[in-house]
Amino acid sequence: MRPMLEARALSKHYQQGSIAVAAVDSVSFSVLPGEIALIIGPSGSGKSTLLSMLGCILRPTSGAILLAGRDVGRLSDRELPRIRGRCFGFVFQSFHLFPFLTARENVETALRLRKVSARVRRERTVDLLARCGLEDRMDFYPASLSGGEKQRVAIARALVGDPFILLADEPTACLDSANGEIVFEMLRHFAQEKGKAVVMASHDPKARRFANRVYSLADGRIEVVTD
Amino acid sequence: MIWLATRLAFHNRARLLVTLFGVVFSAYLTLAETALYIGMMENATSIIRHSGADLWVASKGVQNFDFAKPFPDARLKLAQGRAELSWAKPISLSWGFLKLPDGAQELVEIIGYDPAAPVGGPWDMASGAPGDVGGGANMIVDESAAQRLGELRLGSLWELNDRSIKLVGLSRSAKTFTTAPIVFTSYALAQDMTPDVSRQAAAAYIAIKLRNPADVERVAKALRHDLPDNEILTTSAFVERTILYWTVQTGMGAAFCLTAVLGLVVGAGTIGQTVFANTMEHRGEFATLKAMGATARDLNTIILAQAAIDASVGFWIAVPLALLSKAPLEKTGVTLAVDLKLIAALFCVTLAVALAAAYFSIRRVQNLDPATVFRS
Repeated sequence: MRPMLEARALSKHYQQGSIAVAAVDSVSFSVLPGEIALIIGPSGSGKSTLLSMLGCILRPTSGAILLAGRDVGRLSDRELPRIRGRCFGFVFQSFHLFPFLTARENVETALRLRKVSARVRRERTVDLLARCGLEDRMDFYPASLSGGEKQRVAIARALVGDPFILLADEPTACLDSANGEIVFEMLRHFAQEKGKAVVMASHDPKARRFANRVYSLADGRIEVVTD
Repeated sequence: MIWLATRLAFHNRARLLVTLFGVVFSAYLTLAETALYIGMMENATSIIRHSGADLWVASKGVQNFDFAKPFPDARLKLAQGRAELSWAKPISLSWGFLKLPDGAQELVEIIGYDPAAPVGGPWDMASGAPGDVGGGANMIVDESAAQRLGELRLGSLWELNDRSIKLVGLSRSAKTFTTAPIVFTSYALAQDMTPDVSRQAAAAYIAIKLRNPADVERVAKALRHDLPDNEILTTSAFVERTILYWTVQTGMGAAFCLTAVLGLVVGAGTIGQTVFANTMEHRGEFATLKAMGATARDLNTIILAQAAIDASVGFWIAVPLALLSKAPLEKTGVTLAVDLKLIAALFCVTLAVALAAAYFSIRRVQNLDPATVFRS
């Protein structure tokens, strides 16, 4: 089966004065449809940089990123936002919900960026939020939601556009154990039921239970791969 | 994306209120200053524009309508001799004192015209007719002068330059740049009342109407030849010269322009600062939008729409305020020339300035690294 997302010898170097620092150094990995790939590693090991490059947010210094076999690393600055919007869903550690929008409006924003019609937007948003157990919280602002509810809204926002790949950065870091479990279940459902790929960076020990492959990152290099 | 901009703009109500206060103030200032300037220029040129004349014979070097240097009105005959003319009428202009019922004196501008063909006379009457100044010592005063002169009762007797004169009519919209009330009277009486003997049998202007207005340049050239000691001006040239005098030579135009521009600068500063503060406060959300696939155009639209919302709401609050202050100001003899054309033009200028003020916010968002969303 062809990988949904593949990184080949991916590197990101930053210049600190006269010294080149490798945040990510020649990393190769892949994730198949229906899989959850977990990236673990200590703080500063390059997880966020790697996720940024995989999500076409950050350009690599060298190496290639293949999205369903297509090299997206060489796309222009005009094309990249389109690829991000159509192919990726993002879940962040600190949610990054829009505080001035209700839960429903937050989720709808992803569809508005894709110019989806109002009727379809409303139907898909309401349906997804209901499936996330938030049917009675749709018109609440993020400030009135609990941490678990906020992350579920963030996941709904990431999934509503039906992306091929979900990139999640420490999705349970701000949640208690029970809410963390719910979030992992949602990610597993997205991968297995829909045949999509999930790449997740997490320190949460429970994350391993849900992952198909585990990549261990240290000093920008992948050291251990567990299937 | 305009939807998102609206939500962002109205999210922080306190900030919005402070912004609107600044924008309303600046828009009102710009609107009022511009309307005042236009009103003053309209007043300064009102008699020229409403005369119906195509050409004006004036003294050499005339700078504006109100400061006329008389010349012998015998030259009228030279002008009247031309076949291309429909009519040529003398107009006198002098300054005098009108005695008020309480004994005080008020400086007035006395315009004398031919009652039989009232060129240079009032064009809009509240009561009476322009021809009523004929047949004796009669005058027409503009109703706006009531603030300065007191009750203007038809038939009442007044003293103008120590001579008794009867109020026979009230005009509308006839004001001067100086705000001194205009007293319309017959050409003959105005001549007779002039204390300066050298100004008797002297006209300030000869207003000329052509049979064919297309001949204006040719007739002007011929009149310049026939009347070498006078200046021959088309109506539009005389209006322009009067406006130029008050605007440039007195420095008044620069003063009005500076205040109006200051208004725009205050508005631009307020909007720019608010949009920038909103952008900085929500840079995490902008980075998230970028990560989610928002294009540069989407993000620019959000920022520009916020600036446009602030400018539009502020401006359209300022407009009724300006309209409300029109009537009280006009009672003092000042004209606030607010019309739809001016409102539309200033709205476009305000909008353009507001959009320009969003430049720094746009730059900041364009340079925003969306990868920051992965840094907790």
